[in-house]
Amino acid sequence: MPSKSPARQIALLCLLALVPALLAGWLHPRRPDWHDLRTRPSEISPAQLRALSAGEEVLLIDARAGERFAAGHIPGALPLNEDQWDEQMSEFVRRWRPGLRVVVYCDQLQCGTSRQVARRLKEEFGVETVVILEGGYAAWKESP
Amino acid sequence: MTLLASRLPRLALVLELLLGCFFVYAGALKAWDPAAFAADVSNYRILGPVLSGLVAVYLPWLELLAGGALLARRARTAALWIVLTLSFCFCAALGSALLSGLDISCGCLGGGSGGSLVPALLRAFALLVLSVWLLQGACSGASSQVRCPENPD
Repeated sequence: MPSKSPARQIALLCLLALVPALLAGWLHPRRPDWHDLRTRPSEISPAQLRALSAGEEVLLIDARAGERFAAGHIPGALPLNEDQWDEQMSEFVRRWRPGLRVVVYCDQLQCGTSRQVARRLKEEFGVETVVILEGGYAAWKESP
Repeated sequence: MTLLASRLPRLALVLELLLGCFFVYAGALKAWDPAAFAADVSNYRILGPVLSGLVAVYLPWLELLAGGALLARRARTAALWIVLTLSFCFCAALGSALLSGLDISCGCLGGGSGGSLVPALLRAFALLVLSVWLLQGACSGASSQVRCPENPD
């Protein structure tokens, strides 16, 4: 009986997995939003934010919960979180104008809240110039 | 060196079936919501957004097939190699996240499954050790029909 090569079987299993994966990526009702993945907001570092703020007006959005904002935030930041979206939106509308750079931040290195807020600003208000602060409030506090 | 997996075939069989069940279960949970899993993968900040999405749609099916192969007792060595490789990748990703101080969801059992990274890393390491142990047993106890790297003939 001929020997069965594990390498061939590994390759076969990997190839077989491609078939349902491709179908899922195309047809699954909960497939990733490929357009969003390609166009999601970019990030800037705290140092870049400081440099940017020195040269132009920037609208800072704090996407954290209210009590976190009250405990401390980047000076000049506006609170706008998903839990109080409707109540806090009016202040954002008052301060934003087309072309104004918007920087959204949350707590730390990886915080999905800021991305969600940035996404809503893009989709609901057409804010194209929105970026995420890399590392969030924690990184900003530690930066020189 | 004694290779227990080849000398305790019943224990090895039970553990192999459990390993297969786990990967089928984990793969099914991730395949159920690829978008949420893609967000978890992206949170590790190892892959870009698009690659994270591609991994999120492909990896669950690889897990399902490898786990299914173990349960069906077909292509066992190949399935164990895939499981070993996946476990190694999970350990590396979780270790990277811990070292980076990321406060993220593991995503190991589907998108948003929550849970601390430390238990997830321990679990991934246990799966890695188990798959190595089973693979050694499969190679040493197997007939000449199955070729393993350390026994090319």
